[in-house]
Amino acid sequence: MNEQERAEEHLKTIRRLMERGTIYRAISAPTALVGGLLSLMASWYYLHWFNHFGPNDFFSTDQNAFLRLWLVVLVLTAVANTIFIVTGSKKRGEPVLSASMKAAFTALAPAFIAGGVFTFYFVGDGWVPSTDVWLSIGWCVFYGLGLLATGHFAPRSLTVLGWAFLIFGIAAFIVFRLTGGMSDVFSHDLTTRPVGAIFMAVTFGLFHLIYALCAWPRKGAAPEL
Amino acid sequence: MLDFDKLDKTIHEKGRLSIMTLLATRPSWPFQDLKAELKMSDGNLVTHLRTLHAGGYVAVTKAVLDRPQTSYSLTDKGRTAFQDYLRVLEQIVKAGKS
Repeated sequence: MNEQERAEEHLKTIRRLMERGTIYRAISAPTALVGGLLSLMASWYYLHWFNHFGPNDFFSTDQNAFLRLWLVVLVLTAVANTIFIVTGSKKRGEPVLSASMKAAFTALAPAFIAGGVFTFYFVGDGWVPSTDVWLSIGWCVFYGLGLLATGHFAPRSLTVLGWAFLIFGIAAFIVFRLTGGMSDVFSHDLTTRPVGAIFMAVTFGLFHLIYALCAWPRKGAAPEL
Repeated sequence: MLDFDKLDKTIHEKGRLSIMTLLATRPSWPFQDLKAELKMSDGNLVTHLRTLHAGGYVAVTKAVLDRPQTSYSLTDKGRTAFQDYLRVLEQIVKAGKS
């Protein structure tokens, strides 16, 4: 091997290691586990509540229960994520707000802001029973877009998770739009209300648990790229 | 004409180059993380780190968190040496292609 070939090989090694060293997982496996479990619990609680009170009573007692419940899940997951980030940074002796984390927040922000505006519009425009379903579909799509925006520095499993949310969200939108009670965006069919909770259980619940299982750090395993 | 002697011999070894590259990506790396990332034996990694430390390229920090942990980081001299090394390496590749 001549000096030029050796130089090329060394540059390849440097590039590979640089990429590996700067890879950043915006959603850690422990955060996904907490978020997934909380989502399943919230969905179960919501469905249990719905079945207990029945559609009409439920509708009249609390219109924004769905939104409030998922805001609680979001806040609890965000708190857990912060704790994981701070303890992880301390363990590695790195600053809490690292350059990689700033890049992740910057990448996630546009989709999350759009999701917030979408939520504000749907809720602010007057609640109808199908709002829950459309909110869950919208959150799923925007969350998927946010994860995909981190793709240039995220490990493959996070990109797969992003695609799963996006494809499932779009597919659900098409299916719900084309079928029976959901053909009207502002459907007043009260029986559609549990669909949103079931959808959230499958996506934010199950998808996150599967991701946590796949991405959980294993001792001695090579880091995922 | 390129002078290959310009290449820093301390860095121009695959094991040490890998260590320097990883250290350039983060403020510091714990020994166990370096070992896992580079798949080197303890002895091999320690030998390379000692060489880099002796050259003034790598700083060592020992801390006791939940257990004793030794972390490594690039010194200013090490970062400059790594950047210079990259520049020479790129020149060699460019010269070979022209």
